[in-house]
Amino acid sequence: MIAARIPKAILVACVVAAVAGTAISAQRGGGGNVQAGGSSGAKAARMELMVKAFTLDDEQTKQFRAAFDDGQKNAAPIKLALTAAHTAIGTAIQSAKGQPEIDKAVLEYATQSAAMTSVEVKSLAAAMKSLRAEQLANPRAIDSVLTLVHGMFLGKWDTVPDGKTY
Amino acid sequence: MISKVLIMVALGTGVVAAQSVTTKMGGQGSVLGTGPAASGTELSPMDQFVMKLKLDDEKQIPAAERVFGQAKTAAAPYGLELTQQRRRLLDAEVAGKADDAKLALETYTEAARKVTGVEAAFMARVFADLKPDQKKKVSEAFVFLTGIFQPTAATSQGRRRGGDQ
Repeated sequence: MIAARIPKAILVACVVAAVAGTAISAQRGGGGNVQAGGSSGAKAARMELMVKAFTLDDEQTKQFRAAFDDGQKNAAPIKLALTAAHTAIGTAIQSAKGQPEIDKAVLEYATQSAAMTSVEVKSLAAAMKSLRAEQLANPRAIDSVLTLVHGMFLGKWDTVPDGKTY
Repeated sequence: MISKVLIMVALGTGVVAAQSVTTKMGGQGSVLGTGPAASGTELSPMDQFVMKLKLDDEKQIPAAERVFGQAKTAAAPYGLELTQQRRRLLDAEVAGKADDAKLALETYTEAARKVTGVEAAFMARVFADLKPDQKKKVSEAFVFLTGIFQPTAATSQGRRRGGDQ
């Protein structure tokens, strides 16, 4: 009897959690803080979210796009190196290689991870050169967009963020 | 048994936030495109990790959960460091301070080394409890752990977990 009730109880809990999550999400936001989903359920791509976060005009939008298009090109070889380095860690563990071999692979991965971060952040910094003083004085927007650019070059950057990370 | 029921409930209702055994262990995207679905109906990377290795419910999943909890705790300060250094790097780049940028990137690399070390140690610990046929799948399964202990990247549903990700 109790066992038969568990799935129902879980289902109810899930629905409650989902509704609560939606309500909390809808309450957030405000100036500079962007979410890719939005309370309407529409999914916005990164460029649209950045336009909203900084209230970019057309010229600024163009400069943001150019900066991230450049970043995408620069990040391509790093993405490959990241994948290779991560595979090397898994292979070292599976092959029961010693800790020094694993440590070496981990360091290589960390190095590539930092390289990817550098490209992301430099692209954002280049884009931010087009911002006006009042836009630069919005730390909430900057933090929000800094989060948004994490992992942006693992796929095509101007797409709906999907949580890909490295 | 219960974990399988939970996964089915999550899939059936489209609620990835359901606290399945595997999603409790976390779940975010990977470099190979295994991120959480925008629709919220795909399995999390951790679910896929468990399924790839076919971890059993009785011993291996509970053991992995315990190790995961410890690893998550161990990785938390490094995740915070990564977030802070990203912001520091951005500030330095915007201000044109090359020395600060270099320092931020060095600190970032060291934090990334530590958090990736936690990821590798988690995998190695799970590996130790695997049967021979499961061990053959480790390098494939490890893909799903990419960045699992790092701050969460943005998703179409907002940020999935704490941190920057």
